[in-house]
Amino acid sequence: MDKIKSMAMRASFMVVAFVTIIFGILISSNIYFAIRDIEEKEHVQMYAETKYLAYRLINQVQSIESSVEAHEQALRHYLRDGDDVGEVMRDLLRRDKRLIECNVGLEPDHFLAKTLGNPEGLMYRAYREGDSIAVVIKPNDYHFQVQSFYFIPKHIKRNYWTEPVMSNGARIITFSHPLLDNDGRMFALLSVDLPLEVLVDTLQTAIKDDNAGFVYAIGKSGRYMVHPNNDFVLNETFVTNSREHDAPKFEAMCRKALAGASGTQYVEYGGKNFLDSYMYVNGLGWMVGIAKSWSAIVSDILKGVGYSILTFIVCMALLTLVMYKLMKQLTNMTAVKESFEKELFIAHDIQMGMLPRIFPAPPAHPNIDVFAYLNPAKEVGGDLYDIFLKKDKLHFIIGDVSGKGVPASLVMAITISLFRSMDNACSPVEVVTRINNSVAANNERNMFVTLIVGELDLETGHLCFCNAGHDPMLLLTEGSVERIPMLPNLPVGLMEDFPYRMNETDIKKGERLLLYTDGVAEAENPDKNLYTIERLMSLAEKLTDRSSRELIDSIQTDVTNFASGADQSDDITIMAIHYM
Amino acid sequence: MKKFLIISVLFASLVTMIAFAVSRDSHHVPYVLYTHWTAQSQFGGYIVASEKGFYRDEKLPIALHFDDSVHNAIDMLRSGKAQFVTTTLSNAYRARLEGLKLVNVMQTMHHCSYSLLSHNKLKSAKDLAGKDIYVWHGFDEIFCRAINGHLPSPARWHQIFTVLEAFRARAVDVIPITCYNEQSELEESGYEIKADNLIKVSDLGLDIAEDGVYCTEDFFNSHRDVVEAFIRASIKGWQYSMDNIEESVQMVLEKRRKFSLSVNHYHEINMMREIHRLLKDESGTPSFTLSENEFNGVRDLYRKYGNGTAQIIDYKEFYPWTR
Repeated sequence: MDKIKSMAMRASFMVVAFVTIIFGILISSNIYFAIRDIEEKEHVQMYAETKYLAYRLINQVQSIESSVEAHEQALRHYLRDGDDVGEVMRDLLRRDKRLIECNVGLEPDHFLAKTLGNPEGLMYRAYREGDSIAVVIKPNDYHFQVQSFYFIPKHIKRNYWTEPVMSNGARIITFSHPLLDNDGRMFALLSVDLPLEVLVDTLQTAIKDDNAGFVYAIGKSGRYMVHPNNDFVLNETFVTNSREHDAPKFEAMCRKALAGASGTQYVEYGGKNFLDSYMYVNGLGWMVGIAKSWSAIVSDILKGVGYSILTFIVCMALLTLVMYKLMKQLTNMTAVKESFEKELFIAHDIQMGMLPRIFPAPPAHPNIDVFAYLNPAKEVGGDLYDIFLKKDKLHFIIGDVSGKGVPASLVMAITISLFRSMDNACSPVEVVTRINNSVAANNERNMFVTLIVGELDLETGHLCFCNAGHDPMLLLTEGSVERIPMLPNLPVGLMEDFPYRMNETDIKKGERLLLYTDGVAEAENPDKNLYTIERLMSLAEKLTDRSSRELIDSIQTDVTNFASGADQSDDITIMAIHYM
Repeated sequence: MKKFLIISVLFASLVTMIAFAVSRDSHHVPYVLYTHWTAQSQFGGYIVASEKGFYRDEKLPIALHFDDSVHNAIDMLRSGKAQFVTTTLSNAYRARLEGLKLVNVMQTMHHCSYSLLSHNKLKSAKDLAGKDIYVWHGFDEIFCRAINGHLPSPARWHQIFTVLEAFRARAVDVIPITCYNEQSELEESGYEIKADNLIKVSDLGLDIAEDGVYCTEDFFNSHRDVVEAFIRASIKGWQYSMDNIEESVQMVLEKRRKFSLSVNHYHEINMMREIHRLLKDESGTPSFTLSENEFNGVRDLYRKYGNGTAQIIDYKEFYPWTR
């Protein structure tokens, strides 16, 4: 029982393991392609979002630059004529509410600076004071010429956005527009201050969906301008952040982006994978990026996979249970079959034991050489033969029970038993009649037996026999074979009290009787051709000088060769009686 | 009754005044250490000594004040608003030349941290000849003259604010940087410093010791026990910072948060390490003393490049612990 259990377990395990491997391969390939697909889409989508953000920021930057540049002509005019430049500054602040302060700086050699008693140059400052705008001249100790918003554009001779600075608790960024003379030298500068929030809010409010990742921006000094972790803003640089989080790819990507590149790429940050999309913001000198963790990108897929795996596990549990039960039944059936086969094997031995197996059969007689062979198609069969010698008379029987297997073997056993139980005074007809009546009684399955029962007088060679529906005997004389004519009778078992008729003939010394069942003539080869009685007779014709054993061995070999490995469909029985 | 009331008020006022005077002697009014730059790892030893209570252990009330870009450390000492200041050896020497009787009570940095950096290659100091070099306000003029002394034709030196921003914007070509601050700040902003574009000032024979702690000679003479206690606690602070670098940097960062300065752990920890390197003198260990050799270095610098200053300061006058 334990053995059956372990076999069932093993078989169930193997089936489940096989299904799991197949499922694993399928799900892995599905995941791989699904992830690849979603990654490709994410690259495109994130890049589009980054572009959108960058353009929003560029729009904001350009609108401020335009706002300032639009006042250049008026300022040039005022500066040339010595009018109140404060008017230009007031107008600028009035028109653009984003600006909190406006400055106009004059180089030392500008006539207005000299006129106003500031030969070292001077700076006007316009700022909001409640609802009004105040304009003052900055004190000399301000040293505006060495401040970055003035000094840098003067030297690079183009617009400049400063790095943000903290001023009175606010984060301020300045845009400076140098006014150049015909020689390309700066003679004045117009600059505006605005809260950094004007720019960064453009980015922070753009993406609100958490699943879309997070937005960050890095300024030209490498410092974060926007980051979900506020501690990073104006504190960390992309280099310090990368190095503290072991993210060399992120560092390299930022370097590339700040040098003007844009694109998307995977970076590792703090042991996690992120897809980063980045774009350079011209003019401002910033980079804008969107980062999304790889796990967030594939979370839907992984969630689906999780459900699939859970379903799979439940299915596998059910399958294992069903498989276990099925395999247990199958194993039980196999055990029953094995037991049955074992019993059939025993039955085969018993059946074969009922047949004479030692030749010449005792008691030996100098006038006779008998040999017989029976090869059942299954473990047990319905063919039979028997011989015995009493008072110089050889009694013999050969028969073939209809059907095959166990039922046929039982009828065969009955037939042989009846044959053996006959008085030697009984003629073959009496023997057949008795067997017929016994078999026919209560023959609900309508089984029947074809047989020949014969009696050979070994002194005279007189042969009397009764053929109950069996193939005719062959008489082998030197170099010839012929069928022994006989009166037809019904096979036994079909009709009780059937009047069987006797056949009688005399055979000469040296002649042989060859008896066989239809399994010989009906043996098939792989092409479904039959061996036929003619082939048997033809073979026997060549073997008339052989002993009974040699004759039967040769026929057996020929039938086997003819069959060429084709399944044996019927029992084969051959008996040879050589009268000497 | 009225007389009694007046006498009582006068008596109470007298008691209050005496109590106030006594409290100063009992150190209830703190002594001020004013640093010559904002709170950063450059002054880690003092921050640690203050935060870990090493000054308190010496029964020394010390208030740490950091440069606010308005008040100069030397001026603070001169005005008596600070009893101790940090400054460079050359600045202190010039102040002494200019008549402020200050003395060095502790020398921390024993090497010159300056280099000159250009966007272009600098094969030798000669490549600086005739160039415009932009320095921050407070950069010691003696170095400008000394470096010019090594050039076939002098460089032009200008003072600006936000030197690094101007350099990154390529508005200027040559700037000075210190190894513990500007150099790492530039690298941390993504700028790649090439060795070929850099000249160390020490390679020009100008390896002048830098930061030290100074007080006035009068204060030293009248409060020697206070100075000694201050130095003991400060050294303990520096030593603690060397043994506990992460904890010390966290104290520095906390100070920076308090003053709304940028807070960058990576930057401060690198600065702290570099400062610790500069603390070591020729023996390879921090001595916290000003050697005569180091003093002679700055004296010779002023003798040679000090615009004809004839006055010679004696080592023992400048470094009173030898008296």
